[in-house]
Amino acid sequence: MQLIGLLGFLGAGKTTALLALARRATAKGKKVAIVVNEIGDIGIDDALLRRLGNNVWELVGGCICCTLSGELISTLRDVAKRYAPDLILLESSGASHPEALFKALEYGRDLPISATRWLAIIDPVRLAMLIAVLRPLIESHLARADAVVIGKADVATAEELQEAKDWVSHARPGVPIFVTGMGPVGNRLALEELMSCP
Amino acid sequence: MSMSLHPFAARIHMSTSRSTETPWSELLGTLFSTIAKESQQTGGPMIGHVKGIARAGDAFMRINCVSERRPPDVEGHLPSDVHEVDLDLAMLVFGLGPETAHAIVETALRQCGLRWPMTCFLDIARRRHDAVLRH
Repeated sequence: MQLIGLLGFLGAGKTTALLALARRATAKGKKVAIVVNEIGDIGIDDALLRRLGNNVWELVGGCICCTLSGELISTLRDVAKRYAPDLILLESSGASHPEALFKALEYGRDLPISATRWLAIIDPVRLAMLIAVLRPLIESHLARADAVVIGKADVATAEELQEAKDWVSHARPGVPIFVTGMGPVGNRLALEELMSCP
Repeated sequence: MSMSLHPFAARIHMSTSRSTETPWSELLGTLFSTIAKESQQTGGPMIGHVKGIARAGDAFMRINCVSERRPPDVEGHLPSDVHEVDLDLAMLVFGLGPETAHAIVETALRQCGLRWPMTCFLDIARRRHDAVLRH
């Protein structure tokens, strides 16, 4: 069982990236489970993901890095035991702090996970504003990421995309960067490439 | 690092007598844009998101708005002959408490109601609204 975790601020494009990964994995015959966390009391993303035919476990009304950290581990155990997927896609809440999330996951060391990859999702259109206000949080996503996805390439300007690439390359030299978007840009998230990231 | 967020969530039953020529994407997109603009006017540039999913039978439409300067992302489809939908709405914006968020949503609904007459029932999820999540 493999796990891909998605980090990124509110509205960065985590659900879009997750859907792309789920489609790719399902098309390759993999059994995929999606675990999604939302801080609010009503889950929106899980409702969408279910409507699109995915197997979804939701954690709502708190954050998996703090108030729902215990539920996260018990949910992952439940998924592994009852569904035994090839791949778990874990979408963190847009406010979760990676350090606290990784500490919480240490309690799940007994889970049968063979490989874990973490993706940081970056919104190039709002990056400058978010860095100005939430730099430590955005940097903490990058610090823990095995790869970085710069999304919204279909709506960002060439300058915004280049600035995002430059900032990521400066903050995390050498980290693999994927640039993706909807529409004509297409989604170039390649599962094998992600899982082979060092 | 510490940041405080106050989530607001509501289930809204919308019943509208709008013309079938007006697509739901326009009505809901306008509603979410108005919420974003009201948020910006109340608390400054929007840092966070407003998202929702509207359902009518098997049909659905998801709306996501992260900036007052950008139109919401809309996916899915609600048929034009549908006149009633259930909208789950979640709002998580820095600096806006649940009471303020509630007022903003009601204001936005009223503004949309001036253009597309409708009746709305709000069922507010209150379980954690008094809580402040600190990270």
